[in-house]
Amino acid sequence: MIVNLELLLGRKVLDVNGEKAGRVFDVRCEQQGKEAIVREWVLAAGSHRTRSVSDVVQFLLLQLRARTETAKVRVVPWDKLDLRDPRNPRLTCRIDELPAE
Amino acid sequence: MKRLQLARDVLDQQLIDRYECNAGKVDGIGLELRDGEPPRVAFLDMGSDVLARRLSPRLERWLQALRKLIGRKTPEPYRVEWSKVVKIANAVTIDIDSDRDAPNHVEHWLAEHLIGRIPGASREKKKKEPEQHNQ
Repeated sequence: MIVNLELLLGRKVLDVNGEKAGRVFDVRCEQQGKEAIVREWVLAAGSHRTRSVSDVVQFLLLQLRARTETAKVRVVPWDKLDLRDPRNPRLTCRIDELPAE
Repeated sequence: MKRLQLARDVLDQQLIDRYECNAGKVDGIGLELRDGEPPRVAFLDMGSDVLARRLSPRLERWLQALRKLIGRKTPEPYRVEWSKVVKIANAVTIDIDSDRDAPNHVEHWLAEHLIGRIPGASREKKKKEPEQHNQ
């Protein structure tokens, strides 16, 4: 199954109990030979809740927030994010089980 | 083993081909989800449709409607396999010949019909031997 990263960025992520965990902010990979393997998903808590602005603007706002404010950035191991429905990504654990960065 | 952040280091970065010519920008990244294994980066996407879809699904629909109106097919997004990526720094260097492989129709049309007619303009590309990049 192929997931487009550009469409995933900025998506709201809920945890296993339906609590908000943040929005997809970035993806950390490791280059191994000719392959890049995803190791972690980075979530950033954003205050904006509407989708009235485009994903690009939303993503830029997230970047800005993460750099200027004390926005909580959470790192999710690759296997803790369920992407079977890429429009509604969900954690497979509780949000308090994730370390804040 | 090099660590990357895809949105920060790759998405929207300039692509440079093996002859050090600009080959567009990274408009999208495809991740392949695999059962029981970590996802891997499958390809980089380029093209106006990919960018339009990202900006707004409505814009993508408008672009497709406009193409239909003028009787042109919606082109498939141009994809570069991740294995063709040779270096990621300020730009993403890929091992392709953008003149031959990448569908820069608008750029080619402009070069031929407009830029190429400007006195002194020369479209000859200096084909250097590709450098060996270490990842």
